[in-house]
Amino acid sequence: MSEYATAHDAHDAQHHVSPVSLYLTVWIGLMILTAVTVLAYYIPIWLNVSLGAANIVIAMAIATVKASLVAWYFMHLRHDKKFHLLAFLSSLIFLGLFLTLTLLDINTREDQPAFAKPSYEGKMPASAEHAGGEKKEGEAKEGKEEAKPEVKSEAKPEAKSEAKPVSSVTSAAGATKH
Amino acid sequence: MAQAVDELKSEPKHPWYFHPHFTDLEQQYDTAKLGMWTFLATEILMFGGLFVAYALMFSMHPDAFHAGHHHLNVNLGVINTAVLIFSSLTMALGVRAAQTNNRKALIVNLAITIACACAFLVVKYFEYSHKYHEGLLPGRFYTYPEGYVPHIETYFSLYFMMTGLHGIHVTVGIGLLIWLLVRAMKGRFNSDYYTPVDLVGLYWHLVDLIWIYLFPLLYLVS
Repeated sequence: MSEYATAHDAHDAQHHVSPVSLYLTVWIGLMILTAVTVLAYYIPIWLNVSLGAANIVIAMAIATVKASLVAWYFMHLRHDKKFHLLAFLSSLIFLGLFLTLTLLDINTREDQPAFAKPSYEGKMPASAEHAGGEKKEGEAKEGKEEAKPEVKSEAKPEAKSEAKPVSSVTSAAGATKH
Repeated sequence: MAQAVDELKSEPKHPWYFHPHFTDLEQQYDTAKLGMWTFLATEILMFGGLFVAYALMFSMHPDAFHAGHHHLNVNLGVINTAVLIFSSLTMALGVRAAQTNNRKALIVNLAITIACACAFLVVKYFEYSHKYHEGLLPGRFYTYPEGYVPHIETYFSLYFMMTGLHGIHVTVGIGLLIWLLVRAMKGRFNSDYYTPVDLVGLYWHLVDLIWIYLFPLLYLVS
């Protein structure tokens, strides 16, 4: 009997009916946060201030708050089985892994990868289209050679982060010796 | 003979929406819901590939992305965001209406949600056709004559891939919502059985959730 009762409680929780006022409040919150996102974009432009990388961090933080509101209230994760929350979060965790490892790789390379310098470097892609296939290859090679000093200057601010993987590699090499 | 006929007549002991291979309605509901959440996780991973591509290309060519986003109309982006968030509200209210046996409210909310989804696609159509005529297109199809910044076409590749995949999801959503609307008008949903409304609702909220990220990433680059 008690088993049935707990199953029934779970049923009630899962089929929880939220009041209309809650949905309206969440909706107003989402609209306010949308306005905040747009203002966070325009205010630095009006004030002629550059926030740099902070801008995208702010935008993503607000978007995450909005997404959490949608998932928690509209998608009923608040009253849902915790396993569904786990399924949802696990996809985000793996997406996070995918994102961080890819960015770590690309931002700590000494040379930019070859695909970052396509054949139509500095030109209109339409003009590259007119050139024959063979010429394109030649252009690509020239482009790479010309681009080298540019790459170095780009890589300079990241010199600090470059040092890290080197040390970790050496420590890893030391670990394997043991 | 008469007894056999009676047995056949009394055969459907369960409501039509109950599939007898489940223990009870609750287990049937749980199974469907777990399946939907698993599907949503795969959806996030599918869009995830594009988000990672965006992060990668943006970190390599921030100037191109900054120049690219100036070709987008922020007002239209804001309108579409508001439309989609409102449709998410009406969808949530629709699920609530199904939970409370309010058939009329369910039909009204589903109809508003469909209208919002169509409005979203109409705005998207105007944005796409504007870019098509200006030559603001992906990769080698980029032919906009002024202010070329290297790799700006990469921004438009990502713009069309991300909003395109999202637009396909909106279109599929409209189909699902119309299907729900027809069934709601036939009175197929009640407080004991509203699984399809609930699951399409989850899908629709995910489409909204992805747009919440797409909007600042594509329209508000700085």
